[in-house]
Amino acid sequence: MTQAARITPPRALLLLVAGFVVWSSAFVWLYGGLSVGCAFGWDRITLAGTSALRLGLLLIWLVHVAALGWLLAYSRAVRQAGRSPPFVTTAATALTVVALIATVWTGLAIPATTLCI
Amino acid sequence: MRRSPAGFRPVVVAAAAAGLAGCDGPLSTLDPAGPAAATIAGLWWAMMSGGIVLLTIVMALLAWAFLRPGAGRTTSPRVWLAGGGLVLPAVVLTPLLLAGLWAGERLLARPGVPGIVRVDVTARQWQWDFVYPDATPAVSTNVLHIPVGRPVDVHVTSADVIHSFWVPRLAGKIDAIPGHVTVVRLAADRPGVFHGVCAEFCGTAHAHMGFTVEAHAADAYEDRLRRLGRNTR
Ligand SMILES: [Cu+2]
Repeated sequence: MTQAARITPPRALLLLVAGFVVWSSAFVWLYGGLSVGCAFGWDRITLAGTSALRLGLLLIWLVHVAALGWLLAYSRAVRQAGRSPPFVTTAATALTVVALIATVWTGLAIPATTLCI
Repeated sequence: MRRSPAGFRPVVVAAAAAGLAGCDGPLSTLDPAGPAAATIAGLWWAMMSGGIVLLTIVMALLAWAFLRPGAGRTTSPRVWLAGGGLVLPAVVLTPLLLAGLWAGERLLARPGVPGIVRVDVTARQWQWDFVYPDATPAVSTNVLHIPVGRPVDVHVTSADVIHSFWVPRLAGKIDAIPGHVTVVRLAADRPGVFHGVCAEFCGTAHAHMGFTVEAHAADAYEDRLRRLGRNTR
């Protein structure tokens, strides 16, 4: 009888991977953005006291951190709604937290290191 | 008296000797002869030290678990998981990451350093051609001449497939990519002959695609380039 209420919405399964999909997107965009930016010389354009390239990379980073913040709030809401198995939603929330930490960690080098030479 | 299985000791000695033999010789990164290679060797030692610290702690915990069964039971599994899975690696790996970033910054071929010498390198199956733009028309094949104590910016490209320019005692590797120019800065802090290899598989004769770098004192270097120039003409 409670079986119907416990059927996993596919969304809950997607939540398991969503955090690290965002993390890998951040990684690819930062990696590609750095190479493309250096090739086009965007590091030589000054914008707001730093280079346009560094600013762009910081923006890419912040967008992904914000997306993960939203995703974390969303997966917690799904968990609290209790319509999916607690294991799946708890694991999804934990994985999103880990993806958030990893993404923040990855981007910490952006302000500090040399972009192009 | 207890005896180890026959042949055990020779095997251990042979394995250790084979491993340690890699620490010496003309292609040893642990025997740096210049600042760039010294930075890389320093990073290697830092990584080695971090690895030893981690291994020691893990082995000590393992020995503790064997010798005092159940002693860790009073600590909750959560503490073991967070401590061993997150705190321990973070404490060891964070300094190593910072050391790696710092070493990477030091190795960059930044412009504006006084006394830079430029060499243009073209890799091809299976040889290395060196051109000295500061001393045209000097060229050489499979022997690179550099002055001692000056930063040398090696501009590398390829005429066919991807190769990789590597002089382990002087600097890190740099890929030789057709259609691109990549730059590695190396320097020798003493005169001598240093060996280089192609570090990217590039075909049947890849393993024989070696070259040498001869580091000369200033006068001898100028003289050598003049002679190379005359030979070319
Ligand atoms: Cu090669």
